[in-house]
Amino acid sequence: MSGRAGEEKPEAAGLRAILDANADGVVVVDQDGIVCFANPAAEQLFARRAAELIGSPFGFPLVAGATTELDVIRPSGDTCVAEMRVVEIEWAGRPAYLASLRDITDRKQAEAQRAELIREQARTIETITRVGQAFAGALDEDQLVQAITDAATELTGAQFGAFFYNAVDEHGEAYTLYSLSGAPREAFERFPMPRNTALFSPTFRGEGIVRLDDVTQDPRYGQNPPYYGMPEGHLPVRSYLAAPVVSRSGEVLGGLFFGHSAPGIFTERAEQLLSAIAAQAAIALDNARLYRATRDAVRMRDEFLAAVSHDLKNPLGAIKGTAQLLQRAVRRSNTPEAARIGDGLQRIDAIVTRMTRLIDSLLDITRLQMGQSLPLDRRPVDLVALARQVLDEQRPSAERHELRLEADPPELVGVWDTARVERMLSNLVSNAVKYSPNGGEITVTVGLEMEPEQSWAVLVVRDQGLGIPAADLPRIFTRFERAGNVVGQIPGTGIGLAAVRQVVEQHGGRITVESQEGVGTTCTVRLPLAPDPVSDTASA
Amino acid sequence: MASRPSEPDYGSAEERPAILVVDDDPELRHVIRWALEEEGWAVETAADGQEALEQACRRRPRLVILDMGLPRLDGNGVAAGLRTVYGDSVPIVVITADGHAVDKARRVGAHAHLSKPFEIDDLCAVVHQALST
Repeated sequence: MSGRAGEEKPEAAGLRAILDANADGVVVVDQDGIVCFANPAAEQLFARRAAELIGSPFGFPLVAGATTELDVIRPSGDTCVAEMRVVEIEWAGRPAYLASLRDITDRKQAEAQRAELIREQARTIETITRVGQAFAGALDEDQLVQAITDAATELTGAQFGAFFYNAVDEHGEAYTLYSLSGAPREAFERFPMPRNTALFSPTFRGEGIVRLDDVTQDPRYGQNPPYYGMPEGHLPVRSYLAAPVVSRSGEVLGGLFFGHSAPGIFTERAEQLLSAIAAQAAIALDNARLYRATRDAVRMRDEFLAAVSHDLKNPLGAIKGTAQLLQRAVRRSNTPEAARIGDGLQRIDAIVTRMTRLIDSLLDITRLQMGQSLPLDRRPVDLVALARQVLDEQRPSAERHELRLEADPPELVGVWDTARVERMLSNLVSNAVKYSPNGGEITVTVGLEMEPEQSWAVLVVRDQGLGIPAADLPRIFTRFERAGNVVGQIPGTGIGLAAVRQVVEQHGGRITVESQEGVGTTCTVRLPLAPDPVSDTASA
Repeated sequence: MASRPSEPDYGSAEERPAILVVDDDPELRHVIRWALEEEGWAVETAADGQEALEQACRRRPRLVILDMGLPRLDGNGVAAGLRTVYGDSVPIVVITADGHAVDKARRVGAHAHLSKPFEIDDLCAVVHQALST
């Protein structure tokens, strides 16, 4: 090298000294791509001596003014990444390239790690969201617990996982096995449930996640009789991960347990994932339990309603029959007192009829709610006569009201379930009476609407009562719902209009209500005269 | 009504065939018996399905008024027993406490059906009608 130096001009020797001192690698390459200079930093970067580099082809494309990244392969096989900037210079009187190279391997690795971390976090969030959505939609507790166990087993990388209920038996020990993933049920069934050991109990006490690289090395392991460790034939567990599932109320619902036969399987990420899944699982289990409790309560209520309604029919039958037989008896004597008794007995009879209709409405609605069908007993019946009869029945209990019937035509026969249509009429008229406490006119209008396809009976019941607030109109046909201006003022169950709509719709008809608070309410029912075989379904 | 006989005095001692009233509700049995006796029919009663069949086997009833929801043996069982012993010669009037009177009556081949609580006039009418055919 000293021989070559002697050929250089003095200013070139000064440049060389500067380049040698540079912390970045510097290489000078001639127009033919042959290296003609390399500084010590370049020697270090390429892991070759300058003497080896000089005179050899550089091997990387050189573009003046550009910055590029080079993957450098060292003789040992190691690689590094270098950032290269290129300028054109004059070297030994000829045009050449000066490449300045900086080792950026560490920076690149850090960047890659950060990117991987971000990707992993994104994957975790995505996984937790997906699992959470799946859990949120599940209301069946068994399926839910299985889904939780499966998801957590997969996501933590466990060989097998299990969810155990926090059920403590009378000895304060056993936990009920609930669901398994990755292992057959028999693998656990031959052994007692995870017991109240030093290792398991923290999870069932809700004391946070336990993550062990090797459970057999844990001081808590093997301390408990009768097995002092895993019983023979037990699934071989080295890596151990367990998380409590704690409900909103703070109750420990159970524990999620995961195992792997190799040590050191469960990462911190697995622990984080499990922590999130356990939280989601607790919410989902709470929801499933609430849902089940609500569903059971609704079913019990409906069964109760059905049973009570049914049981009331016998005493009602006895009362009605007795009243009618006594009426017959008093009719035989002609005294004024007998007439008064007869009148009273007739009232008892009418009251039983009304009560029966209430019960039948309740029964019908309850049955529909329980998914049972309600076959209609259709026979020809005159709606005008039925309306007249219902008005006559209601007149005694509507002292402040004037009940009027307007019928055109004077007779309107349709094929309907007489008892149910009668009940519908009775409901509408008694509603009109009940919700006009200051009296007024109640008009029942029966009319006929002829259409090419279908003829309709149109029944209108109009009162001058309290009316229904506009906001309540959409829900007054829902059972147990009542208008806001009568709740607490006028007693009622919210059954009447729901029953009316049910009867009307089952006959293929429609009901509409117009109302103005303080002015009155008009209910309009349209019933097809004859059944339409398509729409006449039992569960309409 | 004061002269109305009490239930145990009636039964197999009667010469003419009786109407058998089967219902587990004593009040209702009482009312039905009262109504039918006023119409001039002899009446026997039974409180459950098994008792009803035993009575019917001892002596053929003219007609059976049959509640469907009975203890020990339900209405379907009683109807089947009656068919086995007497064929179609004993008419049945079905009474039910639920809304399925029509279905139940059809199933047991009943002559007529009534839903509780029924009108005494209707009861007498269907019995008259069943016995006149």
